[in-house]
Amino acid sequence: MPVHLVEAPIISQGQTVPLLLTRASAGFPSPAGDDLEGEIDPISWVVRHPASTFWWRVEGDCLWDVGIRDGDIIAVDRAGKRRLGRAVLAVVEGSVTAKILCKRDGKYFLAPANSSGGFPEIELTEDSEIWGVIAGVVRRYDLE
Amino acid sequence: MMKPIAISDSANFYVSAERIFDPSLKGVPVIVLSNNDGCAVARSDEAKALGIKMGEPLHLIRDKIAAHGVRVFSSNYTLYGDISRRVVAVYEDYTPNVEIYSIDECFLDFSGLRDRVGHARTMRRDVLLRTGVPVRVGIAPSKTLAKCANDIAKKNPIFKGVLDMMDPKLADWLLPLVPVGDIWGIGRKTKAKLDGIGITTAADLRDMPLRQARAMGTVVLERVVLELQGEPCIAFDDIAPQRKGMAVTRSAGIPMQGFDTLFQAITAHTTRAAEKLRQHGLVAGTMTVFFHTNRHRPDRPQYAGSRTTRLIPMSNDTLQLVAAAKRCALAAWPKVGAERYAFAKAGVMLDDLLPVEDRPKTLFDAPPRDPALMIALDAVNRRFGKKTMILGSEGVSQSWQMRVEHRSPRYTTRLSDLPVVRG
Repeated sequence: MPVHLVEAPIISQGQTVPLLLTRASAGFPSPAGDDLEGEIDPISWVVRHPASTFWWRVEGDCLWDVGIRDGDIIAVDRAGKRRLGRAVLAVVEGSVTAKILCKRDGKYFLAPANSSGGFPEIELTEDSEIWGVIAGVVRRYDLE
Repeated sequence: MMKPIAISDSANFYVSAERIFDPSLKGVPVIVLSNNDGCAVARSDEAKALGIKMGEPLHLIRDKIAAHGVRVFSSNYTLYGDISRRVVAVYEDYTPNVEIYSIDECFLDFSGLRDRVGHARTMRRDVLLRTGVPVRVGIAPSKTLAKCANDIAKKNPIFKGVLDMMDPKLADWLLPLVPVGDIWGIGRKTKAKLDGIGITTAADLRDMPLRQARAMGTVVLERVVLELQGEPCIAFDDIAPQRKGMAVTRSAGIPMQGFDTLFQAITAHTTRAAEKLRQHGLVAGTMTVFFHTNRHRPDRPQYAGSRTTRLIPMSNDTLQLVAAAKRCALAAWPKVGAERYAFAKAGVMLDDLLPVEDRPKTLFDAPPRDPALMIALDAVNRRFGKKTMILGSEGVSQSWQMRVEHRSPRYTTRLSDLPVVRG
C-alpha cells in the first residue's frame, strides 16, 4: 500500500503561509517565485459537499477489500448518489452499518467487502435506509 | 407589490439533530433539557403525545420518563449550532437572501420564482437529504403571515410541509382556524385582552379596526394586524442589523458560594463576551454584571446584585473588561452576611457596541493597549482549543460549570466524539 507524504502547513504568527514548492536559492532569485500556489488540502478534495458531509469512525474490517480498516475515519456524504457497488452507511434496525450496496435477483443487499469472510450480508428492507455514501477515508500511522 | 417571504423551520429541531447520529431515537419519545438540565425545551412528537409540556421541570416528569422509556438529553449546543449552519448552507442554494431568525428558523426571500411551491418542496427534500433535518415552509406576503402558514403546515400533514398563502383566498379559508394566541407577537396578556372583546382567531384579528388595535395595545398590535392583512411592516433584512448589545449568562451547576467562586464564573463569561466582541470587530461602552440566588427557592435566603459601569475608553480587551467586571461584582456583593447566599446564576451584559474603528476618542485617551496580546490570546485558543489560555481568576476546578449529565457527543466538531459505525 503506497503511503503519500503530505507536508504540514507552515504556521507563522497564526497565519498559514503557502507551501513553497521550490527551494529558496541564496543567490539568484527563483524564477518560480511568481507562480506560488495555495497549500495542498486533500480534505477539500475528499469533501465535495461540506454541508452534507459528516465524519464517522470505523470499527471493524468488513470493508477491508475496498481499503477501509478498523479505526479509519471516513467522510460520509448524505447527498452522494446511491449507486450499486458504492460503499454506504445504512441504518438497519436502529443501528448504523457500513457496507457495499448490491443487487441480486431483483433484491437489494448490503454486502461486506472482505474476502476472508465471516461478515454477514444484509437484505435491504423497507425499514432500513441509506444514511449516506462514503466519500473518502483518512488514516494516519504512528510516527514515534 | 407583494413580495413572497418564506420561513423555513424544523419542528423539534434539537430532537431532529440528536436523531441524525442515533437512529435508535427514531419513533421513540425524546426530550432535550434546558441549560443546566432544568426542564424540557424540545420534545419529539412521541414525547408530546405522552403529555410532556414545554418547559416542564425534569424533576416533575421523572415517573413518566421511567414508565415510557423517554430518552433524555442535555442541550448539545455545539452539535445544534453545527447542524443549523449546514441547514442554512442548503437554504443559500435556494435563495440569494437568507435571514437567520433563530437557530432553527430562517426567513427566505422567495421573490421572482415562477413555481414557489415546487421550489419549496425541492428545497425541503434537499435539506432532509443533505442534513437529515425535516423542515416545513410557510410562504406569504408578510413575515407574520408566513409564520402562520409555517405553523399550519407543521400541524396539518395534508400540506406535505409546504404552505403558500400568497393567495388571499387561502388565507381567508385558513385564518379563521388559527387561534389568536398562536400568532407571532401575541403574548399571553394581549391574548387575554383580545379574548375579552371576542377576538379569538387570526381572522378576527386581521379584521379588527386599526384604530382599535392601536388603542388597545401598542403600535406592535397594530403592526400585527397590518401584517395579517398582507402588508409587510417587519422588513426583510438585507443586511444583518448591527448588534446593539450582547449578553453571556449561565446558570451554575452547583450553586456558587463566596466571592472567589462567583468571580470565576463572571471572569469566564466576561472572557467569552470579550472574544465575541473581537470576533465581530466591536468595542463596548457599557457593562452590566449581575448575579442572583435561586428565585424558585423562597425558603432560602435571597439576594440579587447588579451593577453597571461605563467603559472609558470603550474596549474589547479581556483584561480591561475583567477588571471592570470585578469592580461591578465587588460593588454589588452583599455588604453583610454574604456567606448565607448560594448564587444560582451570574451574567455579563455589554451595551453601546460600536465597530472598533468608530470608537470615540476621549480627551485623556490613554494610548490603547497594544492589541497584539489579545490577538495572540485568540490565536492560541483558536489553534489549541477553547480555554487553552485563560485568566487565573477563571479558576481551574470550575464547580459552577453547567450541569450537562446527559449530553450527546459533539459528533460533528470533535475528533474524539465522532460517531462510530460498525463495519
